[in-house]
Amino acid sequence: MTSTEEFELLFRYLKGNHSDDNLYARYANGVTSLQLSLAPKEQQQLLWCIQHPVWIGVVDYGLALHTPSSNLRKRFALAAAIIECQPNGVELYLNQKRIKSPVFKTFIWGIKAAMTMVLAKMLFLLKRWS
Amino acid sequence: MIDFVVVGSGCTGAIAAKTLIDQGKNVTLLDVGHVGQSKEENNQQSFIEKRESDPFQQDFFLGKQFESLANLNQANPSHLTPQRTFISELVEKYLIWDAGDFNPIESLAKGGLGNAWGLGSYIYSPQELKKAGLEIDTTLDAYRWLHELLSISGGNDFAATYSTGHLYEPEPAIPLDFNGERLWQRLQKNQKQLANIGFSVGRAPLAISTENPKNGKLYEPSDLDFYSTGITSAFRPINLIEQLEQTGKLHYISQQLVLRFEEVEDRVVVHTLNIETGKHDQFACKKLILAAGALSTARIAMRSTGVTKLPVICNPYSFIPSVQIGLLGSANCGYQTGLAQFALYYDPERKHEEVAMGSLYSYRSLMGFRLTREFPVGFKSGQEFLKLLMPALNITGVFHPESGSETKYIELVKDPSNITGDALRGSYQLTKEEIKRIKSTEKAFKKALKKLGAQPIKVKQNPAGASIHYGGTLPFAENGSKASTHPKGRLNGFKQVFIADGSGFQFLSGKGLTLTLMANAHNVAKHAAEH
Repeated sequence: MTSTEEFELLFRYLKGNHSDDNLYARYANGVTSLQLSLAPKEQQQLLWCIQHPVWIGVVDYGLALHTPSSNLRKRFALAAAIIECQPNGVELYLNQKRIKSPVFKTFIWGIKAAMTMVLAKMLFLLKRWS
Repeated sequence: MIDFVVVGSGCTGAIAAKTLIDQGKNVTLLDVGHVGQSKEENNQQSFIEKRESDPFQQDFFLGKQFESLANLNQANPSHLTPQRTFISELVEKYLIWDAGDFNPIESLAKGGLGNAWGLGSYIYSPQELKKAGLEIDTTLDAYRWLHELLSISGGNDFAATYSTGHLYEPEPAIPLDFNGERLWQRLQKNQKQLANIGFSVGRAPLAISTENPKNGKLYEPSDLDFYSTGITSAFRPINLIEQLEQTGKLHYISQQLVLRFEEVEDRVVVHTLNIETGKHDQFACKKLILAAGALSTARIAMRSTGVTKLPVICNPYSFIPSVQIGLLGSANCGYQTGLAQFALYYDPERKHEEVAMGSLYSYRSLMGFRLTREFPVGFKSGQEFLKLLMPALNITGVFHPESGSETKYIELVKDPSNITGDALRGSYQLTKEEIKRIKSTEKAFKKALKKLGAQPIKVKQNPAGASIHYGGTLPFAENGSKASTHPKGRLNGFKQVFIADGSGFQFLSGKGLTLTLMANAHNVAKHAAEH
């Protein structure tokens, strides 16, 4: 089962703006085709993200670190794939102009990633999703 | 009665059929021959153009039913693009695997796994041929014959000893993309340093025509070639099969899953399951050539001989993603190919016996979400990183040389719940020594990539069976048991049954085996025709 809230959350997180019904239909179709039903723990994690959307990035890292093969992470992957395959989604992954100071930006990205990993570790340690 | 029955339409079946027809024989080819729905599109657009303008690109990149995402659930994801998913369709129903730690990829498609072949056309050295159990002179002759048939391009450079063995003059290599150009410059500077650590590096020889096409098409650079089976200048067995059908000398019968065979006096009776009608059929022939791939041929041989356990070999396979720091954050423009650009041969002792090989790709056209899944980061964060990373990313697939051991085998177990009444169970455990050697080889590859200006990120070891290089199930033996193959290709214990795929190979070099499989198929078919 999927909900529009779930996809809206993922879409806003990954793309930064509102979704539309057409994309939601694709997402729901994908969840059904790929049989990505959620275990009770994953349902709780998703519900928690819907209630606390500001933490979704940290949960995303936590899933990558703790349960990389979980169906919830696969749902994230599905949403990312659908968004990537939109004509306006290309800009999210491919840049048409050279990015300035790429090594410095990579370094900054690395620091941010490391901090988020620590946060995600703490969250998954403290928060008991049973 | 049919003169020759060939089983399987992949690279070896197609070459065996072609050789027999060239010898004036009439051939019946039995095959499941699944073709699926054609998903090829007119790929005139470049990758970027398609990504920016096509509102239905999801169907192309992910599949209408998300086919390319479906294998995320499998133990050994095949990374087949939607255009190629037909290759592994029906396999779960008819080529059944019981639980085990060996997860191979098989095909029942017309053209078999040859539809997904990366086109790498490497020769085995005489030492490697000997280790594999193949005759040296006749195989070298067969390589030359194949060069004429396939049109092989690239490889005539620093590493020619390993790629073409100076056996023939290949056509010019396909153009390098902007990522490859930089590596090429470093390669020219650092050849000696690479040699000092045991490496020879050169352009990958590919079965693709850049100068003298045999089928009327030259290679046209396309950065969507990772997604498509439709590179018309490439050699694909399905095309050869269709050409042979047009001559009228090949009778291609599809929907036939070959189950077993028996020799009755001077003929061979082939028992099949017609997957369309569900009925069992029989075909009587004078000679039978099995070319269904080492695993499928093993199934057929085990059902026919009563042997239930056979050895198996399969190249261990690792991925090493690496980054050219100087290309981080570059604009994504220009052509970038999905075909292998370089081949790195690791042979520290220079004996040409135990060569590990890496195929280097630059994968801009691989979708970002796939790459993000491989790293322990969130998807949003992955997007930001990939924008910097994609133009600078290379992936090297390293194939390690492989010999058999008692810990690598397959068993045929009875299972009445399956349509064939049985299933294969695989067990594949590397020895401590092999694991040690693989780790040391991976370290050496990381060093070599650094010398090429590409910083390795990590090493990912794939599950057993992921290399799609299988062999050794019916190993070559002069006067062996029923579960072995005579060096000339006849199945020991039978007079009129021949094996033309990799079942006999006792050793797999790290260098891609497809060209050698085809060379062996040519020789076996020739021998069967003269026998």
